[in-house]
Amino acid sequence: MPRVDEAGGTPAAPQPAPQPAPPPAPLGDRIRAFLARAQSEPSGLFAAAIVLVVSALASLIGWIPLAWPSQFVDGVLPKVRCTGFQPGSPPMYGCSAAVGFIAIAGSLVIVLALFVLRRPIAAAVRALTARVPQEGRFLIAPVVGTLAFTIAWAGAHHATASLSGIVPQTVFPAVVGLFLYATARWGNGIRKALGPLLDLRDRYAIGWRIVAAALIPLALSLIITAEARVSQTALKEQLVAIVTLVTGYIALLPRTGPPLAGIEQTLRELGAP
Amino acid sequence: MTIKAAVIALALVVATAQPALAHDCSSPADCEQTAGYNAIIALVGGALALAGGLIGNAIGGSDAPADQGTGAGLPRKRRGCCLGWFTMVLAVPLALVAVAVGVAGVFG
Repeated sequence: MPRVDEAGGTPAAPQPAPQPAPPPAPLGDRIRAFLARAQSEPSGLFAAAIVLVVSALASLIGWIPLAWPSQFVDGVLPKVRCTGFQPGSPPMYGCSAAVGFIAIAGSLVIVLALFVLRRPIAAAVRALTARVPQEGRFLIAPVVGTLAFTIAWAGAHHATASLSGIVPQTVFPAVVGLFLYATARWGNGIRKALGPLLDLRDRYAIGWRIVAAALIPLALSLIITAEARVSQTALKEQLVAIVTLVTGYIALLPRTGPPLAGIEQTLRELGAP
Repeated sequence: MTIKAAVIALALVVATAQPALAHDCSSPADCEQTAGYNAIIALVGGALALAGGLIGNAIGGSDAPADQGTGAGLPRKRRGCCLGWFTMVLAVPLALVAVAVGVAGVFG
């Protein structure tokens, strides 16, 4: 006997057989969809958060292997200790600055070499970057920048990697990734906000701007480390490094065009390779 | 028993007092607590962060997100330049390495 509709008494339509759930999309597709959605978000903050997380992971993973080149160069340089000086005295300042410079000299050499060779390296890895899905390509520059800075920061902090400042030392290089994303995504807005400062800056020749870009963070460092024993060392280092990055950016930022390409152009006009 | 307790107490005192006696750049962690070391690492680190940014931009900059902002700013005023500033910027670190190595020879 067929079933009838209780309200109308007509025979009920046969129930369709339940469809099996569609198989989940492959992980790669889901990641691509996620990145595409992040980039379409109008404020750009979602994508910035992704850049920060991915850059932090890149820094964390690359921390130990990327410190090796700097450690190798440092191993060639002489070891200096300042045990003969009064802590907090000007001679101790000079001696410890010399030790600091030797500690980061290996990183300086490696990063400057990468900077000089950046275009051949870019050409060499173009085939590799072309294989990155379109949705993920906005991460290439931040990750590469982060890894380049990790060479420097990890090389100088391999013995004190456990310290933490604004963020743990091992993820601090991610600030470069975020900086790269921010300058590309919000460069014009930043330039507009800095308008009066850029007007003031433009009264001085480029050389004086570079000197000012170095002296401002140096003065800040002198003020916040004016202690016999510097406290919160990682915090103060990270703060001064960020201020140096910002003052360098402001000193070299072009008035028009893409910011970082403009900075590179300015450096080339000054004789950079 | 008393001697053992005194030895343990002495060991504890030495262990806790050691960091307080340092801050003379006698080890990497101790160097971080000296102002000159802290300043140079941070300052050179910041400059290398900018260099790292330029390296990243050279390699992946063509795939960077489009700038959504407005206001491209005013045209840049052309200034006289090319007085070898970049050369000086490169020369200063190299000179500092030479000085640092010299200091190492004197105090090392």
